[in-house]
Amino acid sequence: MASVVAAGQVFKDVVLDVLLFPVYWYTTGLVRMITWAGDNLMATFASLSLGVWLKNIFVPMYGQRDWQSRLISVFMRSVQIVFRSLGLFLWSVGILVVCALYLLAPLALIAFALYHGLGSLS
Amino acid sequence: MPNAQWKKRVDATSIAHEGMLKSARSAEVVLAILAGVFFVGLFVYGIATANPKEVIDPIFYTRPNVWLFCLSLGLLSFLYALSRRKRNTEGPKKIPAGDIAEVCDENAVKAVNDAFLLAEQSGSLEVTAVHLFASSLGTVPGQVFLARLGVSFSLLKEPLKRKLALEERGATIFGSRGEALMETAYENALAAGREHLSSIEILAAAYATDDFFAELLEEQGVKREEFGNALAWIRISEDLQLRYERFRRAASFKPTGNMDRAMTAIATPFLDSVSEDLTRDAVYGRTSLLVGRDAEMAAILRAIEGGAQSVVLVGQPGVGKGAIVEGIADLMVEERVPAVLSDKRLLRLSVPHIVSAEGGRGAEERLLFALDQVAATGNVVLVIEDIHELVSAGSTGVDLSSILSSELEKGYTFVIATTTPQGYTERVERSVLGPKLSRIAIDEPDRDQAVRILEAKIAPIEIKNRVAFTYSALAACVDLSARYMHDGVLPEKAIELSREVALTVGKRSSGALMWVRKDDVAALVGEKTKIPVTEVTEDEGAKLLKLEEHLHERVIGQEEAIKAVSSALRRARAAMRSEGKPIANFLFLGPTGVGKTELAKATAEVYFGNENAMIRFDMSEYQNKESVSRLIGGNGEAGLLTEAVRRSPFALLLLDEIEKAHPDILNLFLQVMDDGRLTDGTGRTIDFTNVILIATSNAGTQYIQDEAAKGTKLLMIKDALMNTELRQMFRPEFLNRFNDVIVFSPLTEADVTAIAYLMIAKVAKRMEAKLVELEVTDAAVHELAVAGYDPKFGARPLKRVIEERLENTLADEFLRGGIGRRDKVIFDVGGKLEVRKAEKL
Repeated sequence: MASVVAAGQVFKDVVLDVLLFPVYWYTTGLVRMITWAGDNLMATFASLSLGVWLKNIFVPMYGQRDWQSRLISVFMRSVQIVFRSLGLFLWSVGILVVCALYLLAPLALIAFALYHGLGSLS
Repeated sequence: MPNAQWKKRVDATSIAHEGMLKSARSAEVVLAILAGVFFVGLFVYGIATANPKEVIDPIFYTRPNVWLFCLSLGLLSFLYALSRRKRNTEGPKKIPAGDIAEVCDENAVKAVNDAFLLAEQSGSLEVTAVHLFASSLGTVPGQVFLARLGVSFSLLKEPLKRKLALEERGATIFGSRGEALMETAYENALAAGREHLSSIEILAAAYATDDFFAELLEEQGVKREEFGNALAWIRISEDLQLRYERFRRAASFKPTGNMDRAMTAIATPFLDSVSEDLTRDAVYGRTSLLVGRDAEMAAILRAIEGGAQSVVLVGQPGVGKGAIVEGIADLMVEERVPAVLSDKRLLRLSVPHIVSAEGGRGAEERLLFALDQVAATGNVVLVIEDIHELVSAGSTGVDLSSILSSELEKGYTFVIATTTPQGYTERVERSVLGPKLSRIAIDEPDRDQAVRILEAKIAPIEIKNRVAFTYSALAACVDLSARYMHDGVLPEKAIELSREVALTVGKRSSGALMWVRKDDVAALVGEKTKIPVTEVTEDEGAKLLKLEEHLHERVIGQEEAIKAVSSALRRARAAMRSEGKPIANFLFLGPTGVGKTELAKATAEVYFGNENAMIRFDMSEYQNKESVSRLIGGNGEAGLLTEAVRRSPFALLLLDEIEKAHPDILNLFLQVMDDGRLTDGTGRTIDFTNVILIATSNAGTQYIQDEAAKGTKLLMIKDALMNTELRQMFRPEFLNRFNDVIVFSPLTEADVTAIAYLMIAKVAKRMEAKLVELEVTDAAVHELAVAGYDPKFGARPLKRVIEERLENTLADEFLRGGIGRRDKVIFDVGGKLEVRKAEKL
C-alpha cells in the first residue's frame, strides 16, 4: 500500500522536477553559479598573489635597500602589478562570459524552441 | 544554531518514496541525455538530408524550422541532464541548520529509515534508542566501529531481539522519542564541530540513553570508558581526511624555494646548507598532521604574537616537541598564523653542522654568518632543536648562547627552540639565553590523549603493513608501553610499539589483511621487556591459585610462610590491591639459612617468571645517613635503588637485614610502601607499583629458636616479636605498612633431609649435562643431612657438606679419568663411589 502511494507521489515529483526546472535554474542554481564564480575569482586572485604585491609595493625586492634598488623595485613591482592585474582582468572576463551564458542559455533556447516549434506548426 | 529540530516525516510511505524518488531522479538524467541525443540526432539528420544550398542560406535559420526546433529541444535536454545530475550528487547541508534531517549524511538517513523498518517489523509502537542503535550498527561506519572493537554483530543480535520484545507494541510511528534522540545526536555533532550528522552520532546518542547498551557491549569486553575513545577513532579518521584535503589546497600557494611571495628575500646559500626547510617539507607532505596539543599551540602563537618573543618548548624526548614544530610549519603553509609568521619559511637549524664542522673551530663565525643571512633575507624563522647543545659548546671554550642571545636582542628575528627539562634547568635557564626564551612546557599526554594521538597516527602504519588494529590492541599499545616500557615517554613509545607490532603481524600475512589484536601487542611487549607475556596477560588469578605448589618445589617446610606469601599475593592481585602501592610488602623474620632468600627467589620466579627478576640490597651497607643519596641519588645523579627499579620496574625488591639500615632509609621505604613511588636525584619519579618488596631481618632469632624448640605456635611468636623486639628497632607505622610480617621456623632434621635431596638433584642435573647419571643412596643422603644440620645456621652448612663430600669426590674421580660419558655413578654412605661403566658403542 505504502509503495503505491509513494509511486504516485514520485510521479508527481518527477513532473514537477521537469516543469520547475527553469525556476530552479534561476534561483538556487544561479546562487550556486555566482558562488562558484566568486570562489574561482578569489582563488585566482590568491594564486596571482596580487594582494601580496600591492601590500609590498614600496618594499625593496631581494633585500636591496639602497635608493637605486628601491626605485627599480617600485618600478618592477608596478610592472608586475599591471601584468598580474591584466591577467586577473582577462580571467574575470572569461568567468563573466560563463555566467552570462548560464543566464542566457535556457531563456534563449526556450525562445528559440518556441519560435521554431510554433512557427513550423502554423 | 539553537533549536534545530527534526522536521522530516518518517513512515513506510516516506521511506518508499525516498527510495523510488532517488531511482527516478537517476533515471531522469539518463532519459534527458537520451532525449538530447535523439533530438540533436534528428537535427543532424535534417541538415544532412536538406538541400545544401538551403542550409547555407541565412533564411533557413531565421524562418521557423522544425529541425532547429529539434536542436533547441536537444540542447535544453542536455541542460536539464546537467542540472539534474548536479542536484542528484549534492551532499547534505552543513551543520548548523534548522532541520536536522537536512544535515544527515546518507549513512544517517539509512540508519533512521532502517530503524523505522525494524520497529515496524517487530511491531513496536515507536522508534526508540534500541531500533536506532541496531540500525546504526548496520551502516558502514557502524560496522567499521564494531570491527575495531573486535565485536561481532551476531553476538549482539539475541540480546537486542529480547530488548526489542519489551518495547511497547502498536502501529509504528517515528515520534517524539526518535526525534529527541536525533536532536541529541545533532547537538553532539555540533559540539564536536562535525560538518554533517553521521550514523556514528546516532549510535553515540542511542548508547547514552540507556544503560542496557553499555552493559551489552561490556559483556563483549568493551568498557564504558573505552566506547568514547573508540568512537573518537572513527571521527578522527574522517577529520584527518578533511584536514588533509584542505591542507593540500592551501599548500599549492606556498612557495617551496627560498623566495617569499613578496619577493623580498635574498639567496641564503650558507643558511640553507646548515638547515632544513620545514615549510617546504610540509608543502611536499613530509610532515604529519598534529593531533591535540591545542593548548600548547595556542600558547606558542600567543607568545610569538605578543611581541615576537622567542619560545623554548621544554619536554622529554618523545613527548612530541618535533610534532608541534611541524604543526607550526603546517599552519604557516596554510597561513593560519599571526602576521609575524606569515609568508615566512621555517628553517630547522642543524646544531651539529654549526658546532662540529672543522673540529669545532669557527663555530661562532658559522653561527653569526647563518644569523646574518637570516637578518638579510628577512623571511626566515629559525627552529633550534636541543638548544642546550649550543650552551654546552662551552666545553670547547665557545659559548654560542651569548652570540645567539645578543643577536636575538637586536630583534630582527626570533627562534622557536626545544630542549629537555634537564637541559633547560641545567644549561639554558642559567645561561644568558634563559631570559630571552619564554618557556612552554610540553607534558606527556595523559592516557586518553595518547590513545587519540595514536588513533590519528595509526592509518599510515596500517596501510604500510597491510594490517588493521582492533581498538583493544591500539589501547594496549598505550597501556602496556606506559606500564612496562620505562625508557621513553608517551606518545612516542606507544607509536613505536604499534609500528613494531604492525610489522611483526604484517609479516605473518600472505597478502590478506591481518587484524592486530591485544595478544599480539602483549607478546611483543613481553619479548622486549623480558617479562614473560603470559605473566602479563594470562589470568594471574588462575596462576596464583597454584602458588603454594610452585613455591614448595623450591622451599622446604615453612608452611606458614609460604601460605602467608601466597595468600597475600592472591589478595593483592584479586583486584583488592590498591593501585598506588607495590604489589605486596613483606617482612621475613627468622634465623639464617631457613629459606628466607630462597622463598624470595622462588616468589620472583613464579610471579615474574624469572628468579633473576630480583633487585637485592644488603642493608648492612647502608647504615649511615649519607647512604640515602647512594640509594636515591642527589645533585642531578641517579641512585642505585631508583635506577635499578627504573630499569626493571617489574621485579622483586629484596632488602636483606633491614634492621641494620639507617632510620632515614627506613623512612624512604615507608614512602615506597605507602605511595609506590620515589623521586630520584634527577627529579624523576620512579614507579614502585610493580615491585614486590621483601625485607628480611634476623631480629629476634634467639627468641624464635627458643620458642620454636618449646613448640610455641609461629603466630604467637610473631605477636610476641611485634610487641617487643621489633618495637625497639622499627617504628610502629613502618611495621604497619607491611602486608604481612612472616616468621620462618627453624628447620627440623626432616626438613634438612628434604633440602639435601633438592641440592643433590641439582648436582645430578649438572652431571646430566656431561651425560653422566648420578645416584645417591637414601642412606648417603641421610648421612649428608645429619652432617650438614646445624640448628643455628639452618641449611647453610649443608651446602658446604655436599660440596666437600659429594662434589669434591666426583671432581677428583673425573680428573682421574674414572668417569666417562654415559657412565652411572652411585654415591653411598661414607663417601663410597661406585662407577658403572657404560657399554661401548
